[in-house]
Amino acid sequence: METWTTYRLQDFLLFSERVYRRLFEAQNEAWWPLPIIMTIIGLAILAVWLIRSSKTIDTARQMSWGLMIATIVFVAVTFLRSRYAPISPIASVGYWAFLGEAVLLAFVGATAEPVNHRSRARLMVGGSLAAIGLLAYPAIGYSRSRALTGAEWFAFAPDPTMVALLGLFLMAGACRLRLAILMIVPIVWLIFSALTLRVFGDPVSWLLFGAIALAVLGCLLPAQR
Amino acid sequence: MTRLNRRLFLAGTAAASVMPILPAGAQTAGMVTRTVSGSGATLPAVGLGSWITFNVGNDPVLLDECAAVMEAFFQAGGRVIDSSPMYGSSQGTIGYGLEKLGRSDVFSADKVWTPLGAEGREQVAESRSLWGVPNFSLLQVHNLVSWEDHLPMLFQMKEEGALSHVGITTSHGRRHEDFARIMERHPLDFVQFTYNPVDREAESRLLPLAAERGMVAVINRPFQQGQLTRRLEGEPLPGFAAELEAETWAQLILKFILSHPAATLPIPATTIPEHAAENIAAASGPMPDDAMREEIAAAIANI
Repeated sequence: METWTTYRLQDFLLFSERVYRRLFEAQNEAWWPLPIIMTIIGLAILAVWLIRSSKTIDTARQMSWGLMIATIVFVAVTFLRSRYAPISPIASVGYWAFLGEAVLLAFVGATAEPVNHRSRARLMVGGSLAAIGLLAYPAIGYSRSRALTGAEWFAFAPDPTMVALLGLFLMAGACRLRLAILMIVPIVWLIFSALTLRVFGDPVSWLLFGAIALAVLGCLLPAQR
Repeated sequence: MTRLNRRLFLAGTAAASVMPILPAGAQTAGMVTRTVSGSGATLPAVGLGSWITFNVGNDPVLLDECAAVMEAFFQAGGRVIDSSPMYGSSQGTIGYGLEKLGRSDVFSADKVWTPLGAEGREQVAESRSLWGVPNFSLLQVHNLVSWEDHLPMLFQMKEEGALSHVGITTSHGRRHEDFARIMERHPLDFVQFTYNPVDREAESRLLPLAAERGMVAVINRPFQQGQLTRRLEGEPLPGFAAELEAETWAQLILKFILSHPAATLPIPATTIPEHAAENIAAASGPMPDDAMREEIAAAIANI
């Protein structure tokens, strides 16, 4: 037991920051320019969940669940399993967790009742989270690397995808229990990512911790007005 | 004879005097070498570590960068490369580099790292396949994990001719008491632990025991995973560094380690080919004596 007290967070990290950043570069280079196209689609999904409900919008919302499920599976397979898992055993666990989340989401999406009179506060918190995942992440990455392919993009990197997903969950206005269950995988993943970034001394870790706090806060807000 | 020359000379004499495992001529061709008492294998005294640096996954750009580090290391005269199943994709990276460079003369030092004793052999076979070597030169029990199971298995492999040398490892100054007890009771060829001018716990027990038992002491974290050299970056070298032909803090630290009377073999890791060559170069030229070693430690402590 005494030995364990000598371990620090960085002792558990097996890779360097340079290798970590290269994961995103390589992922973007392999799929470019799809990251930009998916961001536009993500923004469209965000708009669909922000505007007033109607028959057409409800159909679009149902379709957006399908797209989100596909996105999670895509990130799991092309990023977590193919790129991240070879350097991190936790990413291998993440791969299975993401697939589990996709299955869960498919089940919830199929059984969820549309929520009327959604809470404005929840919409704002959810919308903010989605905007962080869709826009802030690529903007931060670009400002650092001066290359669009150096950024982390929604649907191609796990962190912005999970942050945006948390936002979508909140905007969808699901019941608190359902929401809490859906939020477990994204939050655990984001904690892992935030700790990884802490080891690198990257201030984006605070953005992730903030996103997690915001998601929890949003979950505690009432779903309906 | 000037004071310094006498000190350097004495350092050389001291090194030779503790060399049942460093026979006469151990510093031939200007480079300090280590000879393993059991097998007679002679190795350049600076190796190459792979913790963090070689865990690059399947990224072809980074794999080639690592191969370039290995190439510079070999060209400078290096032979010992150390890895572990715990180091992510490092073993595969080394295998890639060896194949690309067409090198078969590597002294392959790897580890067993599984809590399940029954899985030891299977893990060794997998590691061997990743390295692309027929047999390992050295296998060590990583961090003493299930050493009661793995050590007999490794000694058996050695007896069968499937392995050349056996060792154990620890790091960060952990479990030194247990480590020393195993060193006392088992005929190990190599032991691996942390030692540098800042982390000197090994001086009290492990290094003297390694010298007494004729074991080569592989030294991990010579630069504290780069923290030490980063801290010293930009700081002027002490005046005596030039007399030791040390051009960088890294070389000065390595000379501090190499000049310990035990048969030390530091394994610094790097991602920069020039640094790999620079590390090997530290094994050549004058070495500090005890007094100068203290001056090196004091100079670093004061920064």
